[in-house]
Amino acid sequence: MILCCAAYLYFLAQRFQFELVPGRVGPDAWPKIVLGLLLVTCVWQLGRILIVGAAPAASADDELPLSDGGGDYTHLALLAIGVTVVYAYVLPALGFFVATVLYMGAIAYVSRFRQVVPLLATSIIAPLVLMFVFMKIVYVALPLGAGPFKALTLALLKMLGVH
Amino acid sequence: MDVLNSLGSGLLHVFSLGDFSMLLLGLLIGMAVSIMPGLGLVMGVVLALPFTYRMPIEPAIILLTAIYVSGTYAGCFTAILYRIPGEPMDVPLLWDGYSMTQRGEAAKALGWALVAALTGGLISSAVMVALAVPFSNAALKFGPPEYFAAVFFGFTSIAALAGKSFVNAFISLLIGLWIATIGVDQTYSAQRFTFGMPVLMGGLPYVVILVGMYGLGELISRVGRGLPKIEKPPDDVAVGTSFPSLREMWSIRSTFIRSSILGTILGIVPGAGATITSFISYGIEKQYGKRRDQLGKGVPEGIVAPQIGSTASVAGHMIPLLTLGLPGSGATAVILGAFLLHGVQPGPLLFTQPDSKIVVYSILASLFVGVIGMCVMGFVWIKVVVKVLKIPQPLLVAIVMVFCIVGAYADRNSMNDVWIIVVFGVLGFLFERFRFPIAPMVLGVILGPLAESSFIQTMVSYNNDWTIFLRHPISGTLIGLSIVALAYPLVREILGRKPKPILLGGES
Repeated sequence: MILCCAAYLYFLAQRFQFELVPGRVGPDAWPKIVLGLLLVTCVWQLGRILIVGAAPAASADDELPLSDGGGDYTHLALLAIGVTVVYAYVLPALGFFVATVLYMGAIAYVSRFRQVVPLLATSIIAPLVLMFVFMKIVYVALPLGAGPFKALTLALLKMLGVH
Repeated sequence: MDVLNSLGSGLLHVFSLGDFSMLLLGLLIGMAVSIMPGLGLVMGVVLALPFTYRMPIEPAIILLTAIYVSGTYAGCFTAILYRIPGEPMDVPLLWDGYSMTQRGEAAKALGWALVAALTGGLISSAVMVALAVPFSNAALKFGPPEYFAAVFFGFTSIAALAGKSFVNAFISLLIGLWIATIGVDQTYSAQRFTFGMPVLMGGLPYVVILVGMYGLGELISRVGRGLPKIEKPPDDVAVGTSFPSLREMWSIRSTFIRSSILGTILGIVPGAGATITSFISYGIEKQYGKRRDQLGKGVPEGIVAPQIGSTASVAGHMIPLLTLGLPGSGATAVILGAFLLHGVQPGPLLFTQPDSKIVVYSILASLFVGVIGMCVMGFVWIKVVVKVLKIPQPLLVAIVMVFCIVGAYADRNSMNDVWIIVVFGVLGFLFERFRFPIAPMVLGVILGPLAESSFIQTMVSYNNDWTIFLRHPISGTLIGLSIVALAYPLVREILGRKPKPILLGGES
């Protein structure tokens, strides 16, 4: 897949629109070098796999006895990605507080956390704290939301002393 | 003498309210994140980055550097006491440290770790201060070919050291270099890989890429691996620190000297992060130490060597960052990002201008104060710090995920950046899944523009003569070293040989 992408991008690099200054290197030179090397490396790896056979390369941390679950919960990771995409999509409409309460609850639930009280408490308190820190101290204008959600966010901000 | 004067002025700055409070905060954050398995010091530095946007540069860099330095130390608590390494670099500590705990010598083991961190940190910081000016003087003589060769050497050594598969690391690096080309070209104003999307015209913000790859991607991967159940660390372990006597320390002086030198030197090499340094220091001790046969069974050398190695590597990494603007690890890449966000390009010129010189020496002085401060904090607050382990992992993951997303948004108050972080979070997850190391890609993104500009400048200045990189003595040497760094893993892969493993610890 990387090989195909690199080939396509190399093709695109040949179609950059510019007027070449004589004696100077064009804006396509560096991307072509990088993509050319990427193509060669991918071909090398493919050839190696075909000749020698696929040997899954382990990451540096694989053999370390780190305290991770060690299971395969790919479906949960995909679910977490889905929840994150939905969060990014609804954030402008629901506003930071409502969207984040729902997102944190969903992520903790997807991560197999089933204790209702701590889950609810964290999902509500953490967004409030973050709102206060980012809007009052760091001066970041977090999304307020639209319609009733905006009214709710503004009321919360007033309660937190953020103007 | 000028160096000492500057360092003294820097020290006065560090003890100002703004700088000192950031230093303390950084030390605390570094300790907390390095104790929690799966967070780690790089994520700590990444998460703190958004808070530095509106700070002056000096406290901002001091905050991030303090997180980095204390992140190499605090993981020893949980590794030694509970056999829970917060980071890969802490793994060698548990072989001997936990063995000592089982014998009822936990306090002594923690004492050795503290002394080691203090020694490694102070020695390497002193070496860094001594080397900073000669390095920056040498760097002042660098022209475009030398800069390109230095960046190229950094790339090749990072690819060679970043993962077990050199090819995967190299692909990761090239993907990063390609990402850095996205946007409108500065010279010709040509659109490169923008696909007609206005959001891509200005290029991708590397801070968001950093947070996405190191933060969000790692968290999604952790959800996919299943989160550890470490909610209640055992209560029966006595938490305290007991210092070794001077005679005990003198008896293993060669370990102290060897590991300090090794840690500092390896720190200067791009790609050899704290983890590699920690393992190599332990491996060297296993091969050349006086009590090498007893290593892994609970001897102090097994704690001292890796702890010195990992802490000493921090100052080592800061040398190329401050003098050349070249980061050699994930954490220094983030620190470089913070410099650039404040409109400052690290490099030899920092040491020549009075305003920037005081900032640099304040950062250098903060390392000394930080090393001492983290040891004091570790000694006094250890019982409080290890309580971080009681936070349920899923809740922590949820909080940190929100932190990552808000951090990305905060840079430009832009929802586009939220989408970019989601994309790079997914990419980070895929990298982890398909065994592509993240560090080369991130460094490719950050150093890509520097590599391209120095390459283009060289081509323009020397009439497109490629051989200039080999004909200039400094660039020729660096390119030669790069070829060695490239060739060694490739030859090893072609021959299908694996290096003889060094038996580490009592468990391997």
